[in-house]
Amino acid sequence: MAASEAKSKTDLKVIVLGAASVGKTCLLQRYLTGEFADTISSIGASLALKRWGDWNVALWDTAGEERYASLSSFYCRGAAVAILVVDLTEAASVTRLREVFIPLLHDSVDSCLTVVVGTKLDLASGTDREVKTSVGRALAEDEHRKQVERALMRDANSYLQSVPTEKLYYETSAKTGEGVAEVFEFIQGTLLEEMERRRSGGGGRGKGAGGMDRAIRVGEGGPTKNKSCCDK
Amino acid sequence: MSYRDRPRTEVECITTADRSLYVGTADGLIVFYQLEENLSPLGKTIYQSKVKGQIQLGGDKRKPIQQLTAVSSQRRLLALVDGLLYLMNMSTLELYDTGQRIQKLNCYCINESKSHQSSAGPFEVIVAPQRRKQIQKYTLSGERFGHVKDYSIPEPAHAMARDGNSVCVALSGQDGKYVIINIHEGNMFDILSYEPGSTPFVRRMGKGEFLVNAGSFGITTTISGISNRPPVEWGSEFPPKAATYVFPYIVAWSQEAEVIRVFNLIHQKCVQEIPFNNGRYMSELSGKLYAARDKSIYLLSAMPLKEQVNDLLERELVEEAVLLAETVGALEASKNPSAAVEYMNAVKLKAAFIYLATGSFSQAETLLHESGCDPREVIVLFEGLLPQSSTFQPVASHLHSLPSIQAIAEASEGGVVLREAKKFLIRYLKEVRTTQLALGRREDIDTSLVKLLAEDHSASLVPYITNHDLHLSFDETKQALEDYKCYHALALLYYYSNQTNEALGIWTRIYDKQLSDSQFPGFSYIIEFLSKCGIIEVVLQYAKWALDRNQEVGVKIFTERLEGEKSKQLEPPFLLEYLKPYPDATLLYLEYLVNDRNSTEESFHTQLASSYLRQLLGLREETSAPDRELKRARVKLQGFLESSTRYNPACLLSEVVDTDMYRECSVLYGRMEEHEKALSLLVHKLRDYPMAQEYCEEYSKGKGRVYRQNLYQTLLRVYLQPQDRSDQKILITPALSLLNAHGAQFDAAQVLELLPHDWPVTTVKAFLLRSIRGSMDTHRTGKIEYNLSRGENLRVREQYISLQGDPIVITDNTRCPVCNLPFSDAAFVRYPNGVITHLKCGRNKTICPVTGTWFGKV
Ligand SMILES: Nc1nc2c(ncn2[C@@H]2O[C@H](COP(=O)(O)OP(=O)(O)OP(=O)(O)O)[C@@H](O)[C@H]2O)c(=O)[nH]1
Ligand SMILES: [Mg+2]
Repeated sequence: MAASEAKSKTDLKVIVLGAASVGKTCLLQRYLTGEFADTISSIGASLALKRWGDWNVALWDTAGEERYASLSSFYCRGAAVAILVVDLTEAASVTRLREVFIPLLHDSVDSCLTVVVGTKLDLASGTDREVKTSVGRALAEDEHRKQVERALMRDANSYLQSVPTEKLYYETSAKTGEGVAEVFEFIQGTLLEEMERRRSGGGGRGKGAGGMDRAIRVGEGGPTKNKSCCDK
Repeated sequence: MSYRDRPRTEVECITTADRSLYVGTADGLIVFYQLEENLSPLGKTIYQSKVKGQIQLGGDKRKPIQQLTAVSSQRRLLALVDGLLYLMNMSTLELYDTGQRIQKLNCYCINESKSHQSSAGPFEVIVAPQRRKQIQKYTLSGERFGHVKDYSIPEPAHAMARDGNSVCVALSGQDGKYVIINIHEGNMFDILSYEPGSTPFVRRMGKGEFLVNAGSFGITTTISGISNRPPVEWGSEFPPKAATYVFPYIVAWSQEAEVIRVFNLIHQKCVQEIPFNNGRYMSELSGKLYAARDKSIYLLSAMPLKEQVNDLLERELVEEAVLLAETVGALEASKNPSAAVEYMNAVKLKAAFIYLATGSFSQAETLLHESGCDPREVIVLFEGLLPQSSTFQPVASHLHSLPSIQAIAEASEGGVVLREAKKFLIRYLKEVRTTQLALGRREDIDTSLVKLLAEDHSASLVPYITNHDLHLSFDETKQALEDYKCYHALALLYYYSNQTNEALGIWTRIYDKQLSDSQFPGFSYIIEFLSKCGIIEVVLQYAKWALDRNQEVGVKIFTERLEGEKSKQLEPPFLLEYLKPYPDATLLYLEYLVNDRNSTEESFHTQLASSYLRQLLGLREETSAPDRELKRARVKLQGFLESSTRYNPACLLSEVVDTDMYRECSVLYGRMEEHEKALSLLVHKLRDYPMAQEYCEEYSKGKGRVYRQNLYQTLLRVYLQPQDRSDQKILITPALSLLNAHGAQFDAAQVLELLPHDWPVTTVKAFLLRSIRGSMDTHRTGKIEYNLSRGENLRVREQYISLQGDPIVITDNTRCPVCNLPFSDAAFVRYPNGVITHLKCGRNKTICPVTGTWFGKV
C-alpha cells in the first residue's frame, strides 16, 4: 500500500507508552510478527498499520527515554487507546509511568481507553518480580477511573464507563508470547464494538458527543477547539 | 550557474516564478535572471540565464536579504532586509512606497496553498515582529499594505509557514516550541518543543501538513496538530538548517555538516547523501530543488520518479523500487489508471526477475502474482520446459538478462538452487493456473506443471492429474511421464485421453512387475477402476486378467458396479456364464445377487446353494483342508439352506442324497414337505432328537391344528416304527419324552393306536394321565363357560323384562288388533312385543297373533 493512501485511511490510533527498556517494542513486534526479536532502544516513534475489521488502525510505538518525552506526547494526540507498559521485574518502571507518562498522556489526550501491561513475565519469578499483580491491577483501575471521569465531562454516555475493569490489566511475555494476544484481542474487541455502535448511530449519542469522537478518530481532533479548515 | 559579477557578493536566498529567478545576496542585492531551458545536443536539459535587472536594498548598510518571495498572482516581489519588508514589481524591480513601514520583523509568510492565492480575497502577508509576542496580518492591495489583525503568541516568532488558515510558528525563547495558529478563528495550540540549540524551521508540505525540525527529528504534523507519519531521524552530526519536501522525499541540508540528505518519507530512511560544502541555501521552489553555494546556484533535479525506480532496480534495491513504483502508480492512477497499473506491473515483473536471478524465489513469487504477467514468461526461463507445441513468444525478455534458470544455477551452487527454483515454479504454477492469467494458456501451464511434478516425483502429481481439470499437451506429457518413469500418472494420462485400454495395459503391467512405480495404488485400484468403467469390452477383457489373479477381489468388478453403469451385457445370466471358470468368483457373485440385490430368482438361489455344496464337497476331497474351513463351509451351506426359501430343493437333493450330509438332506426334504423322510434322517441317521422336535415346531409354525398333529404324529411314528427293528428299543425314550413334552399336540386316540400293543400301560401312564386330565379339564372348562354364559343371559333377560314393565292404559277407544273390537273385560293379553289382545284372541301365548313373532324359549 502506498504511504499516502495509508495515511488518509487511518481510523484509529493506538499508542504504546512506558519507560525505556520495559519492552514496548518487543510487545508490539510479538503481536505484529508473532516473534520475539532483538530490539534496539527506540528512537523517536514508529508506526505500524493494521486492519481491524473495517478499520485501519495505526499502532504507534514510542521511545521511553527521557529525551523523547516531548515527541511521545506529540504522537499521543488523537489516540483512542493507550497501552501503558511496565516491566514486572522493575518496580521503578511503575513510578516512571505514574510520574512521567500518565501526566504526558493526560496533557495530550482528553480521554482514552487505557490498558496496563506488565512485561517480561518469563523473568518475573520469585524475587526477580518487583511488581505485584495487585499493584499493576490497581494502577490499571486507578487510571481507568481517571479516564472515565475525564470522558464524562464531555460525554455523559461515554462507553468507557461500561468497560469491564478486570480486563484492563495484563501480564505478558514477549519472549514466550504469553498474554500478548489477549491484550490486543481485548482492545480490538472493545474498539470494534464501540465503532460499530457509533456507525449504526446507537447509544443515543448525539452531536454533543464530539469530544468522544475526536478522542477516537484520528484526523478530526486536536488538543484544542480547532474546528475549521480541516480539508478532508 | 555561476554568479561572479560581484566578487564580494554571496547568495543568501532565492525565489522563482515561471522562468524568472531572483537571487538575494548577503550584501542586500537582488538580481533578476531570466532562465531558459534548452535541450543540449545530447538530449540533456540545460539552463541558460540572462540578467534582466538588479536592485540594491537597504542602502549602504548592505545587510543580507533575509527572505525573498515572488508573488506571481500580484506580480510582486517581497523581500525582507534588516527586518524591513520591501515590495517590488516583479518584472521591473521597481520599489513601491508601501505607505506604512513594516519593520523590525523576524520573518514573514504568505499563503502557499494555491487555491488561496488565486481566490478572490485580498492577498495576505503574515509578519512576525522582533521582540514582540505577536504575529500580524496585513493585506496587500495594489502597492500598499493594510494592517488587519494581531495574534498574540507566548514568545516572538522565529519562523513561520502558512497553509490555508493555519500558520505554523516556531517560537523563539528559552523552551522553544512550535504552535499552530488558526488565523480565521484566532485560536492556537502547541505542536511540540524543539531541542535547544537546533535551528527551528517550518515548511508547508502539501495540503494540510507541515514539516518542522524538532532537533534530531523532522516531524510532520497536520494542521490539526496530529501526525500520521513517524518522525524522520536526521542522523548524528547533522544539525539541519533547512529541509523541504519533494515528493516522496524529505530533503534536509546541514550547513554545518556540509551535506544534503534525502529521506524517503515512506519508510523514513535516508536514501541518498550528497556532499555539499560552502552551502548557503537550499529550498524547494515550484517543485524544484535549489541549492546555493557562495557564488553558484544549483538546480538539483530529482531524477524523474520512474528513473529512480529503474535506478533502484538496477542497484537491486528491489523492495524500495517496488514501494516507489507503487507510489508513482498511485499518483498516475488518477490520470490514467490503466497505464498506472501497466507501469506497476512492469516494475514488479522486472523486480521479480531480479529476485529470480538472485535465487530469492519466494519474493519473486509474490511479485509475479502481483504483476499479473503471463506465467509462460517464467516457464521459458526453464530450458526445455515449455511444450514444443506452444506458440508462445516471450515479450518480457527485455526486462531481464536472465539466460535461463539452469545457467544461474550452474553459476551458483548448482543443484540446490535448481531444485529450489523448480519447487518455486511448481508452487507458482499451481497457484496461477487457477487464475485469470491462465486463460488461453492452460495447456502450456498445465503441461509444464505436470512435467515438473513428474521430474520431482512429487506426491502431488497423481492427485493433480486426477482431481484437476488439466489441459495437457498429450505427446509432451507422455514423453515426460515415460522419461521420469511415472507410469501410474502415464496410465492416468491415457485414461483421461480416452485411451482406457492403454491405461489398463500399463496398470496391469505395473501389477505384474513389468513396470515399476511406487505411486501405483495396487490391485484394488484396477478393480475399482474396472468396476466404474463403462466400456464393456475393456471391462471383460481385463476382468479375466483380474480374476486370474484374484477371484475374490476380481469379482468386485461386477459386484461393486453402480446400477446405472450396468449395461445389458453385464446382466447376471451373462456374467454367470462368464464367471464359470472361476468358481470362487461365481459363488461371490451369486451371494451378491442373493444377499445384496435381494434377487428372488429361483435359479440364483439354487445355483448359490449348489455352489456352497460344491465348495464343501471340494474341500472334503482335499485331505489337507483344515477342519475349521470345512466347518465354515458347511455352516454356510446349512445356513443358506435353512434361511433361503427360493431354491429348488429337488435339484439339490440329488446331489446330497447319497452323501452323509443328513442334516442338509433333511432340510431339503422338509422343503419338499417330505416330513417323514426328513424326520427319519434326523432320528435314525443323526439321532438328534431335540433337532427332530425343533423340526416339528419349525414346520408347524403358522399351520393349523390338524397339520401340526399330523407332523407330531409323523415324528412319533418315526420313533415307534423304525425300519430297523433293532432301533426300536433306543427310540422308546425319545418317543416318550416327545409324548410327555408335547402331549397336547397329539390326538390321544391315534397315539394309542400307534403304541405297540405289548407296551405296559405304566410306560405311557404319564402321557395318558396327562391326556385324560387334559380332556377332563377341557370338558369342565367348557361347562363352566357354558353356565357362566347362561347366567349372564338370564340376567339380561330379567333386565329386559323390567324395562318393559310399564303400565298399560286401555280406554274405550282401544281396540283389539285381532278382532278390532273394544275391550269390555278387565282381562287382556300382552305379548312381549307390546301387542295387546282379548283373552280369546290371544290363545297361543308364544306366537304374536299380529306380527307372528315367536316368543318361545331361546
Ligand atoms: N525475557 C524477556 N525480555 C524482554 C521481554 N520484553 C522485552 N525484553 C527485553 O527487554 C529489552 C528492552 O526491550 P524493548 O522492547 O526494546 O524495550 P522498549 O520499551 O521498546 O524500550 P525503548 O524503546 O528504549 O523505550 C530488550 O533487551 C528485550 O530483549 C520479555 O517479555 N521477556
Ligand atoms: Mg522500543
